[in-house]
Amino acid sequence: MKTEPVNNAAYYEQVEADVFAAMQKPRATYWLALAISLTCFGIGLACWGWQIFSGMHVSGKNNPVGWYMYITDFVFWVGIAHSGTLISAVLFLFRAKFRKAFNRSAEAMTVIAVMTAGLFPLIHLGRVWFFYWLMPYPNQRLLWVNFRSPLVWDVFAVSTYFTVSAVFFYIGLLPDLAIARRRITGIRQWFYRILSIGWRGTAKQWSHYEKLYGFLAAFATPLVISVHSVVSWDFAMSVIPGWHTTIFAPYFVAGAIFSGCAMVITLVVPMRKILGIEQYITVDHFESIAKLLLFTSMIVGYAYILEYAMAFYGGNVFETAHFMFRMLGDFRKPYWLMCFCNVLLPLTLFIRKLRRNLVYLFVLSLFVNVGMWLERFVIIVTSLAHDFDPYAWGNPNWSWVAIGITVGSFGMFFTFFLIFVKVLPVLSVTELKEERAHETLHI
Amino acid sequence: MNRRDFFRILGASTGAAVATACDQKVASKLVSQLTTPRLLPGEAEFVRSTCRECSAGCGVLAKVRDGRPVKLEGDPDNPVNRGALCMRGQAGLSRLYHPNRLRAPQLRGTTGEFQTISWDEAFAILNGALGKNITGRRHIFLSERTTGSVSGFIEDFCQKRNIERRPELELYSHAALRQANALVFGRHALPVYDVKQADLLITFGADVIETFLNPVQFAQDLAATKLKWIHLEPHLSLTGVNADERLVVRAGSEAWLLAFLAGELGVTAAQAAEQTGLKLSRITELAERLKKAKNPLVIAGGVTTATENGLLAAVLSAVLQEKHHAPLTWADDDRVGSLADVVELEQQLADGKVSVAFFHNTDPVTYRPSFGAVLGKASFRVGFGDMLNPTLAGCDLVLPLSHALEEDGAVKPFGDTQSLAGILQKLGAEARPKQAPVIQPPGDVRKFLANIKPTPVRAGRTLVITPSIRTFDGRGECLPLLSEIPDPLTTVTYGPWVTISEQDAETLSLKDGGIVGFAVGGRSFNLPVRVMPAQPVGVFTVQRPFLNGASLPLTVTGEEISVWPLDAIAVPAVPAVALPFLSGGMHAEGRGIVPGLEHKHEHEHKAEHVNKTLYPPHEYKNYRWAMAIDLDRCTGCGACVAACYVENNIPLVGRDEHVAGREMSWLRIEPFVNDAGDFEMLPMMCQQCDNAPCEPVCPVNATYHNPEGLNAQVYNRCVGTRYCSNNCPYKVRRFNWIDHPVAQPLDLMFNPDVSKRPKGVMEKCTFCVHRIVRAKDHAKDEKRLVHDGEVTTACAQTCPAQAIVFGNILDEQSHVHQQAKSDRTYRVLEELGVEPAVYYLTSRSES
Repeated sequence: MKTEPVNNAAYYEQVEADVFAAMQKPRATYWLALAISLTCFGIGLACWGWQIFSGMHVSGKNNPVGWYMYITDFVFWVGIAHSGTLISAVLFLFRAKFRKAFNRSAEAMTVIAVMTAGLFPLIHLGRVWFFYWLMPYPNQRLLWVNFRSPLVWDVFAVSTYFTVSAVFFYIGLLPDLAIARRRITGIRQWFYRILSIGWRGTAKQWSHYEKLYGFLAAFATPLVISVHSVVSWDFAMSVIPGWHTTIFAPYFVAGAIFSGCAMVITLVVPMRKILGIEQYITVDHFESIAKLLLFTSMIVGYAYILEYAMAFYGGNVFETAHFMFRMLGDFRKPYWLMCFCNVLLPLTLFIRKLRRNLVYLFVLSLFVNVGMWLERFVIIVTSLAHDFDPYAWGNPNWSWVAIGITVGSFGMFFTFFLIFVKVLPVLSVTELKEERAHETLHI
Repeated sequence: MNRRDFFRILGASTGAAVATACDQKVASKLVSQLTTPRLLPGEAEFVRSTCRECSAGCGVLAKVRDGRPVKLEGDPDNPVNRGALCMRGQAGLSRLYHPNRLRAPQLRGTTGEFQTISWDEAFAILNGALGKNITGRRHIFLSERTTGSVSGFIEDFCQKRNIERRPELELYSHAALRQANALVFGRHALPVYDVKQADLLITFGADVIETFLNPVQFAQDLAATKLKWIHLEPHLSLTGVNADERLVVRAGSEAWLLAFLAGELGVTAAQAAEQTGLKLSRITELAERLKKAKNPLVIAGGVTTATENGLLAAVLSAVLQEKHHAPLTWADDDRVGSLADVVELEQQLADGKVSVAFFHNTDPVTYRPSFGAVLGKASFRVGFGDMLNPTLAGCDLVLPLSHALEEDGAVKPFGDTQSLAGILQKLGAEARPKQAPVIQPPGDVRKFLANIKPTPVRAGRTLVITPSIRTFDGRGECLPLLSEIPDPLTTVTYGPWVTISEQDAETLSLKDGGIVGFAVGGRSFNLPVRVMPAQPVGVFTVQRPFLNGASLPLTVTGEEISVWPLDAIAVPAVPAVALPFLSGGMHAEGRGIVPGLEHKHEHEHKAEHVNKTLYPPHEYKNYRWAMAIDLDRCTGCGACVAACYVENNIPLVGRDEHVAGREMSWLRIEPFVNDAGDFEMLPMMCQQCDNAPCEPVCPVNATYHNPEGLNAQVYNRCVGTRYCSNNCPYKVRRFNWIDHPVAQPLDLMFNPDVSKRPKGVMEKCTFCVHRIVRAKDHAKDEKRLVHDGEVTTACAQTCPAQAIVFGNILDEQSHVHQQAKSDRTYRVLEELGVEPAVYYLTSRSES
């Protein structure tokens, strides 16, 4: 078969120019966004400082409700982290093409979200200054952690997840860092020079790179399942009605991917607009991710219904009473809002027009973010507030400090994400070139 | 320098250095220098004393550690309380260490402010005041109820210095009972009832296990006997819910029913039924029972005898006692008067007839604000007391009294205080032998009954004013522990409040914390409500200390009226307040926490549901500590809660933390009410489960299963994840949300055997593990195991009803083992498979 000689150089140059244009000197809107994020972050840190100084009573918790907004935030942010790994690793293994539009920002989101999440187990500790006791380290007193405790499993699961996601993110960045080293001049070049650790793009390096990337993708895939399963066991391993259920692991994993996809949409819709990279992240890509959102939403909806079915079918007086309380009790408003955001609203994505409408998707993703935060809130708080002994029932208190720290976590997340979009290429230049090469060279 | 010189110099200089270091430069004093010969550091010594938190006067043993009393326990040798102590008695120790205690004599200066003076100056001033010419005036001495040598000193002092000794003042003087007893038995005194010999007890209004006469003794006797107990009352009280039968009658109508039962005044059953609101069949049944009983005992008191018909009710109950030959002995309190005597004194003051007025541990100004207005008309006012109260604050000279424990010399006194006897001795008084009680011939009961007719009861809403089980007549209001522990039935901690029925709450559109406004005793009150199931409709109950500042109207016998018409009750347009009550739900909702009949079947089939576990069962070598709680005996009085607070240095957190739901009690009494309006009181503490859900979830092993079955908590290891508390089905773990500083010198009251927990740490009941360790040490010295009964927990020790049994369940002879085998036994939430070590024995009536 006769083939035309193909020259993709112009396209490659165009891709590089477009992506690196986004990394140029920021505009005022960027500084404004960064200032807002940093302020929120600062508020969060100040609230944390106040909480350490004055004691945990400022966090609004009380006797039955020992976990409240911080564990909600923890599970929320770990969940957000999930879709990053799903998009970059799982979809890589399945060769889903639409991942190329999202994988870099999704991976960055993962790393940042795990960092944010990782703070919350510390924030909620009564004595945060002894946080290192949660880690097994050799010591003279032969004191070890309790390996039966799901909280210790959490420590391992989250730290493993963070390490693997960070390495995966960095390895994927290597060829792009080398391009940055070439294209960016001045003092910033030093940064990329060091980070690209001698990447020359030789055939041998590429060969190693591809193998390693594939291996890491395979390695990260089970983590998508394991991390959130472990997080769900924080609850499922307990005896508390509303927590003690075997469905929690798959239910939480689906919920995590659901919330992660929503957060990707929330981040990427404005990002592609602001950075002017619309031709690389297209509506088709968004439609694919919207389908994933719809699918996981239905799993979550199924889990919601199943919990009730089990409670009422089982006939256990505590379970039944608890789920009646969840539906009709003091927290019915967040509960029904959660159902609306996570189950009813995403059903509209069955309509093709709506799932291709970016404004609609963006608004929907905000609702899903809210809904998924509420889901964790409802699970944690309602279960603790009304457990076995009616005498001990009680609702937690409104707390500005807890809200400040929650806002601060969003501030931290967006601060780091905003730094990311100006410091690292938000699209994988290498993969875009690769895709073009595959299409034109038919290799 | 050669080698030998070097060693010589080295040796000499080292020797010199060591020799100088031998001098002890810091004179550190680790143990307070007491004269007690038995003092051993780390060992407790017990000192005898008497509780003054109410007029019963229980005997106490103060546990003294290193010269400081750290806990009060009932004196087992004292006949009044036989080793038990109520909530008020347990809290009474904090009076010794109260930050507000007066530490030196105070004299009101020209500016009106108190100035500290020396005792010599105080005596000089006192002698000067007493020596003045007092034409047309009199010195008076008003004291609380006193007994024994103190009373003798007062008598001698009053006679020598020409002072009128006023009748002693107790707010709850039971004057109607005294007058009735004078009429029927010739004794103007209060009897000691012997419940143990009765086979039927009918109590009218007398809150016998809360504040009436000797509540601890009543609780002990009622728990130990199997008599039938019927309680009649217009409101809802802890005593009522503990009776075998509780009958609600209209406030003030009791005399009608008593008259029918006694066959006096020609009152018919129909009349009694009409007045009391009881069914006619109920009344005839009651009369039938009374007739059949061999040794019935009828007691009227409390809210029943402090009404318009109160004296009649008291006389009729005395008549019934006489008729049935009730065995009565008499308390040594003939000198107690009533508030009518205070009114008389008030008039004397207003007329300018009082010269020097002495007030000893009493507070008429609080009971009658109008007394405060005329107090200044006495030419000189002297107060004796431990803390300033409104009366003492109105005095010119205030002399600080030492605590009873300081008088024994076993305790180092705080500040420059003296005992009343010591002060009076320095003023010339001498000890007097005990006077024989006054015995008069009985009065003419027939004549009395011929000239009296019971007042008909009015309809409508009623305010019922009761004493408080926690602060009695208000004297405990200054002890924070008594506000920290919930009122047993309502579970309200920091007051004030008014208890109302669910139906009234609906009619008035009120929820817990909503405000009602009413006027009584010349003052109007806006108080929050607590809505209670089983509270009679139309009855509003308020505890007397919450009405301070009002001069309540008096009955004919000079007692404060306990029933007040409340037709003009209003719901003012003010926002509701956050009322701190600790119960999250009064209804057990079929959960079997206190098993009803519907749980009997489950209970019988529990063996079929074996909980599978991956882990091998715990094996215990010598001890497995366990507890058995007899709900049939438990009255829910809360004495155990107070004992637990004091024993374990549990912090007091105050009203706001209670509203937020962050109380710190390790042991609590949970009231549950069923649809029939019957209450069960359930003491709840750590159940020391075998398969404790708290243990596996702690990431740092701060809580673990110790080899004797306790869920031990290592405070120093805890990082505060609160996972253990979340996973506890009983929710008995307590987290230190904040640091809990205490005002000095209350820090000296801490039990040195129990560590203080810092902020951020979980804490809990460990069956008083420090006591167990001590007992084991003792047994080890004697090369044996701990005997049954050798060690007990603070809660079990103080329980007036002896409902709590603690011991080693591996010992088959032990009391707790026997109890656990009883067919009445169940364990709370047993079906979770957590294998709790606290065995509850259900009420006989339900099993």
